[in-house]
Amino acid sequence: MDPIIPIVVAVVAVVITSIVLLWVCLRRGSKGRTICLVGLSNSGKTLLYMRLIHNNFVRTQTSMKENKATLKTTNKSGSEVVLEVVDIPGNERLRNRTWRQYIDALLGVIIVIDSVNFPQETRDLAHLVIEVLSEPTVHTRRIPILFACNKQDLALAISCDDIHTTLENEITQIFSNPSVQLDSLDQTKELKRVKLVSSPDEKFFFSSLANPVEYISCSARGKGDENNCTPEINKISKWLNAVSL
Amino acid sequence: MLDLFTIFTKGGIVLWYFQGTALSLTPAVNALVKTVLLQERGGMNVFNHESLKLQFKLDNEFELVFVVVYQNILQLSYVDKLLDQVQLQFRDRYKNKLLTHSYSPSNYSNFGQSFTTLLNSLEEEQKLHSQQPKVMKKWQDSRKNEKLIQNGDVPKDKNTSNIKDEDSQEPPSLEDKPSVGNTGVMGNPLSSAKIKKIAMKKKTGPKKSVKTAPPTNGSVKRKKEDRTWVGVVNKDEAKSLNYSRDIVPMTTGEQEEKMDKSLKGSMIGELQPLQQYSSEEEEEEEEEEKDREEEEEAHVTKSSGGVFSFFKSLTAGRVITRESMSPVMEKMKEHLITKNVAAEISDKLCESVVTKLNGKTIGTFRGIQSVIRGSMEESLVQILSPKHRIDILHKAKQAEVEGRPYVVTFCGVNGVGKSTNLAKVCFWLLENDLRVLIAGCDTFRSGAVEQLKTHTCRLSALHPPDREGGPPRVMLFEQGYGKDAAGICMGAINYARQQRFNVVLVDTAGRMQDNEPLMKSLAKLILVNTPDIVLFVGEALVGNEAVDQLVKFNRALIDHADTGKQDPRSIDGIVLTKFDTIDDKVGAAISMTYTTGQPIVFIGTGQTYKDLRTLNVQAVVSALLK
Repeated sequence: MDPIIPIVVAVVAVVITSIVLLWVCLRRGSKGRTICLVGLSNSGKTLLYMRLIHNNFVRTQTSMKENKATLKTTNKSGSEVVLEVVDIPGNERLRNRTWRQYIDALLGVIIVIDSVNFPQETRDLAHLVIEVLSEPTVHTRRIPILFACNKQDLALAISCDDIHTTLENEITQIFSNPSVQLDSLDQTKELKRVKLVSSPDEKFFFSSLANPVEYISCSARGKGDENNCTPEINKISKWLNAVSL
Repeated sequence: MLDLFTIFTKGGIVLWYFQGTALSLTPAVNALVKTVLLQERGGMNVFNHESLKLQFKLDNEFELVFVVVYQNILQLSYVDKLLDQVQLQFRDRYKNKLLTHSYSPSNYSNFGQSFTTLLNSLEEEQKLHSQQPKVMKKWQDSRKNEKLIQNGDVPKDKNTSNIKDEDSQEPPSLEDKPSVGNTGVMGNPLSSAKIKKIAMKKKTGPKKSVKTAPPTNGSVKRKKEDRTWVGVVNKDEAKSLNYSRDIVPMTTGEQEEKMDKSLKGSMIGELQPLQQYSSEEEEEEEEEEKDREEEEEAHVTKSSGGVFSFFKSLTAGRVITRESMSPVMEKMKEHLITKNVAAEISDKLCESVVTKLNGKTIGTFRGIQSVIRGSMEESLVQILSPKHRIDILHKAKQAEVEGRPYVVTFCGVNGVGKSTNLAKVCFWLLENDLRVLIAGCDTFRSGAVEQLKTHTCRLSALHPPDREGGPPRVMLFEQGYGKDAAGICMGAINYARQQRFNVVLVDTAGRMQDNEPLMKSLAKLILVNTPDIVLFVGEALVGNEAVDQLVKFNRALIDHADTGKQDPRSIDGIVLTKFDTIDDKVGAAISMTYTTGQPIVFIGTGQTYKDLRTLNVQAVVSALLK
């Protein structure tokens, strides 16, 4: 009996480890399906998230935590794909920490912009865009980026093209000060920033990036009062379909 | 009566609301979230925003926030009860839906009825309560009695103590000092005989001192001697105190040779963040090991998470309660106090962590201590992370584009290192190709202007003008001692605008926060000159005083501001100095940032020009929790 017991134990251990490894491999295989909604506070991310997932209007407050849910889309070849949509809180203190948790499985980024308050927030938005674009994963995997100019239903909204050019100018200005290129307020060892322009005098264009960048205007709220408003987010759904592999 | 009652998730989705007014109250609730919940002030329940009062309750199990908004002038006593009862009802009713995270509001719309019934019953209760005649408080119930008991005095019944005192009235009243009016300390009226005795004592008092005075007449007339005042030097002594002939005044050429040229070029670009706390070699090894261990652990936990998650659903998770957390929180609070965090700040922080974790479920494999530690670490990182970036280089260049100088004011109490750190900041700005004007608005302390002159000489020797005879890179604008600081500051800013200086650094005199006239004059300086950024300089050695200093400085600036024009200016940033003197007792950083909500802009780590750093949040938090 004695020699059999250790053999049995060993076989059981091998079986358990192989089950565990299979589990891990299967979970790994499902990575690469996250779409992150980022943007400054009060740009409309949570409402956009609710429109995409539940297709209804909700009142929202400043988010303290991220919201995540799954969304089914059809990809180019027509089959159904399950995406995970994550709404990252806009508050500066939470944004960086939360965003880092979802970078590994990133498939696409939607940057939501408040078109009405854009002139006051240009600098902060430019810094956010630089942070997103200089993330090593975003750069190497050439993750597609969608700039969603939200709140287009309001009269004072700035047009999508204007936002596009203003952002490019702002980013050029930020890069033209070489001393201000690297933000080292909370430097961690693994943080390696990618240089987006080769020389400080060069003008920055979104088209010069390797990532596919798109600009669309949308309105998560839609015209009308709370109970009766239809949003205009078809372009976002189309982009999601195009992006899902 | 209520303006708004909302229930929303921590992710920001409003599940249900009841609105009593037509105004949109979303900004008020957003302000509550931003100032209270995200700045870790969750210990206080009530928040005032304009004319509204907001009270909230967190449900950590289902990640919900319940908020009540009502007008400031109303005094509703049932709000706490309403929040508690609504929370219980809402949870019980919608437990399943909340667990599955289905947050579309149509699921929760039928809550309105139960809410109105609850509200009506509570309002009825309050009405009945207010209509009841108020019973007079007994002595035993009063706060004074409680205080006496707390202080250890024997809780005598008031009647018995009166009787006892009447018997032995004579000795105690003579011992007690006579107070205003005819009543003694215990409220017993003094008799007329006692009053006479007290009056006699008063009369004999001054007579005694007269007897000891020496007789003035009858002695030889002495010549009047010059009185010798303490602290004033007369001419003879002055000569012996003058050491100036031994020192040869240095010319700028000699100074250049003696100066450490290695300083130049070392501070270009952004400031370095703080280093970690133990010796670097050991630390590198430690960190490598830690990284390896962490990777292995993470691998194991990821795979084990998959297997155990199905076991987790079988074992019930523990719920954290206030009682289970209190021993750990006490230890945590003491630990923070030993790390030099102000006592009331550590108290408030612990309260807010308790509020965040109360009612949360944790898996049985995690201990309470690790959960609390993790939550405390998150809170500390959140407090220290700036809510908006202060990038002085960037803003100075922007101001250059607008054609005006960027004005920085340094204020603080005496001896914290304002002038020293001003010189360091000036050096850093010069290294980054900006032209700096130093305004010597410290017109009180002897040697302040000379100190700045010396710094200016050294700095301009290190950074000579671009070409021979060109405009100087750094200059000092001073008008000696005794003049009005606000006037000098205005003159300096005008001069800088004319001469196209990029930055003006204003050095003010140190002042104690309780000194009302000096706080007024500081407020006037800031009001009249509207600097772009007001930096409070505080030393890292300060303990509980930090809170007091900052609160009083802020209040003084806001109180003496002109209410008509714009928002009152308060402190915009903090400079933390003498950081090299504290090893890992870095609590002052937390106290200061928590009190003002403003970020730490610079950290001073020594007395040479190179010792200027920015804040490294992770290093400070890990030093605090070690």
